[in-house]
Amino acid sequence: MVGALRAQGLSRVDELRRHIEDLAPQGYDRPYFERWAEAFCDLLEEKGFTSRAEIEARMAAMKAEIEARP
Amino acid sequence: MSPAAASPRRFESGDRVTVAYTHPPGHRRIPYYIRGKSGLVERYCGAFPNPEELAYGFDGLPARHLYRVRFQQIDIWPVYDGKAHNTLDLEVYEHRLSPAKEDAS
Repeated sequence: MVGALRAQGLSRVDELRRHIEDLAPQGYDRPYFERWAEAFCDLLEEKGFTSRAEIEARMAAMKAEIEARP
Repeated sequence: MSPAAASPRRFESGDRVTVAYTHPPGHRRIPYYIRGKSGLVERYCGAFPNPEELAYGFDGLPARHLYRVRFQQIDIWPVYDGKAHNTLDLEVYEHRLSPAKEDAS
């Protein structure tokens, strides 16, 4: 997704870097890619592509789907 | 090839420069510890879109001149226990630099 946005010229690494640095200090000890994903959600929301609520709803739906598998 | 910069560059290798001691809000790509410190231009790196503008989704143009500046570690830290000749190279955009005053450390 990050690659697609960059390939389309819709976002730059500098923007993601800003969001990573803007994360709350309480999250600094979280794993690298968790912070990265968190920052990417903020970037998507800022650009108006989607909202954090939409992402979280989709994640919850996927989780339920996976858990319902036999 | 680097995009064209709006203005000719102000510094050459060997020039002594001082990093602005300012704390503007926003995403600023300069470490706090180097603000207000002086060093020597080690080389000119080229002109690049301003990453402080790119970070907010703008095009970063006109391109800004970037220099690699060599600082003495003893000039940077209040207490430095390493060797006196140790240095730090840092790439700094021209808009943060001014000619160093003669007596500046």
